[in-house]
Amino acid sequence: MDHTFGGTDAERAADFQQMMDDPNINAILCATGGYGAVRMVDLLNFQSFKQNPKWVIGFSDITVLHSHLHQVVHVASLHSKMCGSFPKEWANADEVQQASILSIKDALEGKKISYPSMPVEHNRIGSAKGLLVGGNLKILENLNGSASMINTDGKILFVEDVGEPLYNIDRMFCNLLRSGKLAKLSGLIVGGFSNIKVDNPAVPFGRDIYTIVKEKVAAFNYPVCFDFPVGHIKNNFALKCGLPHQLIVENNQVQLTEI
Amino acid sequence: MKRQSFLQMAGIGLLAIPAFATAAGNRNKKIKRPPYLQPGNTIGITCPAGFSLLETIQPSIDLIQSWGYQGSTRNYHWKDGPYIWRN
Repeated sequence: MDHTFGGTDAERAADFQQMMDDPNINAILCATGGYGAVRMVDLLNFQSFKQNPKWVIGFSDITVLHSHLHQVVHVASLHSKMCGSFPKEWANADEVQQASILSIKDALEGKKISYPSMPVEHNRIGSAKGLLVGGNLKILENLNGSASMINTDGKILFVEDVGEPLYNIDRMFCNLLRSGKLAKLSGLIVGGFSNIKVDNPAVPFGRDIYTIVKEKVAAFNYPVCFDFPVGHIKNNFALKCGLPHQLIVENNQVQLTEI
Repeated sequence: MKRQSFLQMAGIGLLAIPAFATAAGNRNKKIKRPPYLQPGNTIGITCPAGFSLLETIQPSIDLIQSWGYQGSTRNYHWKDGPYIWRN
């Protein structure tokens, strides 16, 4: 036990390593996020895993692993809810929660992903094809400059975050923009930015999530959609990181489809 | 010794099917897609970041079992050591 961590760095890495290398384990579901993946990822040896890859499942802090698996290990992975988000009583869970959880099963069993999203007036119309990559914005900012950070060129990037004030969300998008991570995208999916913190109610930041993103992508032409069902929200659907997808953003419909 | 017994207990299930590469759209390196799951496969649960508690993850264990998968968990936070469940 190590305070907020699920073990010391070495213990968490050993757990994960064993699951990667044990041929009797077929997928690795991360129980929860929080903080700590970035402290153990460099302790992992992917030699055997590369030959016999398995689905690594999770989101939020687990974005560290998705990003590293994509950029360094070159293995696809599953961005989805984790153990703590499973309903206590399945029968009592509402439809959206059930659908989010069942999307994990469908994805793991090979069903092709195809999700609609709400048409939002701030969306930028267009169609894109590319490998789907992304995850938690704070984590992507944290990884940027390290070997684990995704080369986003030609790819469909999705981002989400929780509990951040708007100025900090702006700062994180500035990081992606200034490091060239937004310049050559094929498409951008903005998921949930939930529980936005109000830093100083007397002096509002003056830009909402739509404005923050639109400012950053103004120089580019790819499609952008907002309020996509991914994030620290009930409608957080499983996404296959690293596999080819098509994003269609039209005035009256938005659809992300695995191709 | 706990680890060894864990390995022995987890020692049933299917060998992973070798993945094939999906090259489309990636100019850098081919991304390998892990094999999709088959009935009876084992899903491991672990905590690479924050801690979790068995009681917290129990609903997910129950549901995954109902989907026809086996599972095993490892997490140093669970003081009673590795926990294995079977159909």
